[in-house]
Amino acid sequence: MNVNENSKRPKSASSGGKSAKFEEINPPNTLRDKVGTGSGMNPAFLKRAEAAIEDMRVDFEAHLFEEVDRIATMFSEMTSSGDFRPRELYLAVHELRGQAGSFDYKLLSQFGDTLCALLQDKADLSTREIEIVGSHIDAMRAVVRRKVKGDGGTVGQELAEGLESMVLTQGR
Amino acid sequence: MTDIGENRIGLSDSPLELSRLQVLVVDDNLHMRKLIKTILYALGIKGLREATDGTEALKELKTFPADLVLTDWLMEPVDGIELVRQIRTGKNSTNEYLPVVMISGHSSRDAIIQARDAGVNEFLVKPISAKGLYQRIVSIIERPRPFVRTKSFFGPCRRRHNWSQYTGPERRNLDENADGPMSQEDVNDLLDALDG
Repeated sequence: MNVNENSKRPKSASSGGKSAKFEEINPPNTLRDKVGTGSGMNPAFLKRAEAAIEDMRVDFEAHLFEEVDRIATMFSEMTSSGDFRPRELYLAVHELRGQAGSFDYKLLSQFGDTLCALLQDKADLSTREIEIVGSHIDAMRAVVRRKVKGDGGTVGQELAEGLESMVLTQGR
Repeated sequence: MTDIGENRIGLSDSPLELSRLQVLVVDDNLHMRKLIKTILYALGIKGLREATDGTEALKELKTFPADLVLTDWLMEPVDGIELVRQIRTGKNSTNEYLPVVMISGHSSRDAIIQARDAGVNEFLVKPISAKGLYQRIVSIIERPRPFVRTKSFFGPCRRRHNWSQYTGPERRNLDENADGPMSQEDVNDLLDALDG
């Protein structure tokens, strides 16, 4: 991309008593050239996009539920073999939590958040941590069985807080 | 990142026309790519390509003149952060100014700052919504930031030295749990605070 030399301006900034040089560049806004002179979002297109997501709901729900089953099976196999691989679990749960919220499975996403916090950067798991992973997976399976959408109400939030408390007491 | 405030991007009677944009979607998860593509098609964007990690994305960019990259963070072998670094400072980069939106479930304060330091333009927290994604795209077009080149950084202008001045409601929570997940609102507040 060519940048007009006039748009490059050397400057200096002061930080902590030291002067640091930097160059400010204003590249041409090539996106603006492609999108016309309007501004803001098209309300009809936004509605269309929201409707398109809604149309995906049935397929996505099935996928989310399969993912919970897959994670539960993975954990069950690790429990049987004693070979716990936190990174593998983390990657699966990380994807799940990202997708669940887009389809109003907020509680499932919350469980995923705290489970990811527990698993992140762990090379192995203590006995207590394995128990906490198991509790999270039980909770996720309950969401799937009952198709609990939103935050799960009072009971759902109490459960989420309980799981979060378990993770926090692990020193995180 | 003063251009990030989603509250300032609204609906319009004469909106931007996005149909000519070319977008590269980078995510290792098929379902997430499908979700993002579905939203983009509905917004009128037809020029779409996909990649499953940073390496594949860089390969695509050699033949696909993308106007915008939407990328996940956690991918293997090459993740979204490394992809952004390669776009900004890689020897073989085809467009060092290419706008990048990072879409990620990594939403701790440290993660947001890491993404900014790599050179992302915008950060969208998963779970994504049609409105959230639309707002990020419009924001990039309507509020482009200048780029800055220093000895140690090249990317969209960032000021990140005045975090300590931020006294908003999220500050206490973040200080108590810097690794905890943040909502999109928290992220926007943090980025605004960092920009000062």
